[in-house]
Amino acid sequence: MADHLRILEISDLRTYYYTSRGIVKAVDGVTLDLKKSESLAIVGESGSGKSTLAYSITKLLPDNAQIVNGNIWLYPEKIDLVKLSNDEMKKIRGRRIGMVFQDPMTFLNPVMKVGDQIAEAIMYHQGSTKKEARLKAVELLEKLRIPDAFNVASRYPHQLSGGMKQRVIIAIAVSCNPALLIADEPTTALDVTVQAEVLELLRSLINEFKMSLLLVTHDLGIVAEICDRVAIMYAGKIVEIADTYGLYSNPKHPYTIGLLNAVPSIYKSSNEIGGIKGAPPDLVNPPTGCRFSPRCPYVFDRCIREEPPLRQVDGRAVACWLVQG
Amino acid sequence: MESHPLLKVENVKKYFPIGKALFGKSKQYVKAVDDVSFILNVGGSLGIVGESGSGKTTLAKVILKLIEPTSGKVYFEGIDLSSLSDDAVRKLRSQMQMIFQDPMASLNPRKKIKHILSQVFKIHTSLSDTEIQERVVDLLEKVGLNPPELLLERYPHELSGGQRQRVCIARAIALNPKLIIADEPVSALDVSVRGQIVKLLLDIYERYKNNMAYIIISHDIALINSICKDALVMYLGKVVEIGNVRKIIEEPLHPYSQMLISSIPVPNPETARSRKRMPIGGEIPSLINPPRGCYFQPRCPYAMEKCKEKTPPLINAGNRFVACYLYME
Repeated sequence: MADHLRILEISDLRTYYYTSRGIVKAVDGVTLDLKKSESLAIVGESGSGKSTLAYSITKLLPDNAQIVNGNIWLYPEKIDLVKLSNDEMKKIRGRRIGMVFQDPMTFLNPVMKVGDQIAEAIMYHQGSTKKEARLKAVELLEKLRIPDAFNVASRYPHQLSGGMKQRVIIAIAVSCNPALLIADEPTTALDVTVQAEVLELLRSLINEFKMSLLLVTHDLGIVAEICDRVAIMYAGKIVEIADTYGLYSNPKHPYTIGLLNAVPSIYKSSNEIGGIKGAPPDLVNPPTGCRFSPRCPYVFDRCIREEPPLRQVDGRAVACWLVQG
Repeated sequence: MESHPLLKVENVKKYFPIGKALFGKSKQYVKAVDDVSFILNVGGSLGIVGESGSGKTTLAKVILKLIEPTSGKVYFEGIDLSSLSDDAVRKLRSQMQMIFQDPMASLNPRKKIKHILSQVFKIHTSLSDTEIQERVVDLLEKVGLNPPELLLERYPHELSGGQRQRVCIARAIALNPKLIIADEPVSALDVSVRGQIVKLLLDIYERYKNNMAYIIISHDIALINSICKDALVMYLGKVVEIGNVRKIIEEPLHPYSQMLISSIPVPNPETARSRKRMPIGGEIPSLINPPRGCYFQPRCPYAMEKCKEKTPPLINAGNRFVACYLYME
């Protein structure tokens, strides 16, 4: 891909946690890129490393985690985020990369009015006066279809519903027109009807602000609604990347196939539900060869001996010995 | 197939008092379950669907007599549960079992699986130790925990989430109960594991359905669709629609059911992006200060004057029941 079309490029990223049980290789050799105004989903189960990947990009990793290898280039300058200091990262986060996380309550200051919290981000990154920032905060809340935005801006987080709080978080995330928005399970804590509303809002915001979106989720339903491309992660590695339509209509990796079969759908009858045997592996001691091999219905001896690389096949990338180019 | 009622829920209400007035009388109530009635036959499988705060879990607790209803009756095989002594209820519980959302929280962390499962037989049967051992092994095999000998000596924390939920299911079916209530049985599990547990629940249903019924509680009508025949849609403590789950999904009648179903993400980009969406407005109102008339009226695109005045009753709409004035003369 030409550099001017890119917004983010990740190359052979490895992020490990150092724990008393040993080294947890949460992200273990991830390579991917993201185009301008593209929305890419990172799909995986708990422990697949999807959130660690998101936290690595924003460099908000806990103390016992470390990026041990790889690059994360942010375009157009192609700055390597891995090499940036904490102070330099502070200027990138919020201004260039917006973030939305799962539980809104954890990321809002409980003793500060929500309007001031949005304004704070605008003042910090854009050097506006408090008055200007406050006005812009109310405008943003209106854009996020919050009724009576002026009054809502002077409320505290606990006075708002879950959906409203998540919209405040989104308002903070997009307040400085970042080129990239990273959303980690942004709707998991919400009820279904509220989730649909927040997703719709996210979709229209990305279009309006021409943002790129990196959506981290376990929910293949949400991905089908809003993403252009999907990367499936399993045990710290990407096993398949494809455009959304291609992935759902013709999944190639046995894990992707199993995952799609395991999701209940209102359009599926009960005999169409499948399951994947076993459970995700322990990342302190991952299986040798292909990490999915102990659960794979098509496993053969090569899978156990040798790890399959992520290879290009018909316009997508798959890491499986069964899928030939 | 001949079917007779196993469970009859009649005008059940559960109000929780909040705050106290000067002389100790409650000023306000949260109407968690507000006038719910339904009948479940042997061989039936009913899904209770609703968002958080809809009262679905409270309803399950009332059915199991874990809490007393404020008013209304629950009949199990024709017996009025409120007429039973605590002892009789305890005996009856072997017939009504519950599977909870978080298997870790419902298994004693200090006991081995062997102990957890044999306890059921020790309390409710007079089997000998060797017979119990046989039953436990048989149970583990039934829920797909192989090889059983290996798992008997394990503690809950040594199992994966899916295996733990299997142990909970084994415990629930141990005494061949007539009613199994599962509250969000797969929500705490990994996506790839959910399919296994759904299949197991279906297997068990097929095996015991001549003598048993299911109630599955979930916020996800897609899950209900894969396990149950019927669905009961709750909104703020009230039943808004009840009927065959396929019919409700294909043609939801109540505007809330319509909104709920069109909000469910569909794991298929073509359908997801082409289907008609019901416009979603407003927030779920508070149960302390519910709106006048129909509780869904402030969010409903079809709201009429009538809806703001009186709560619509549940009426027969051909193949199902619905609580909406749109379907009344």
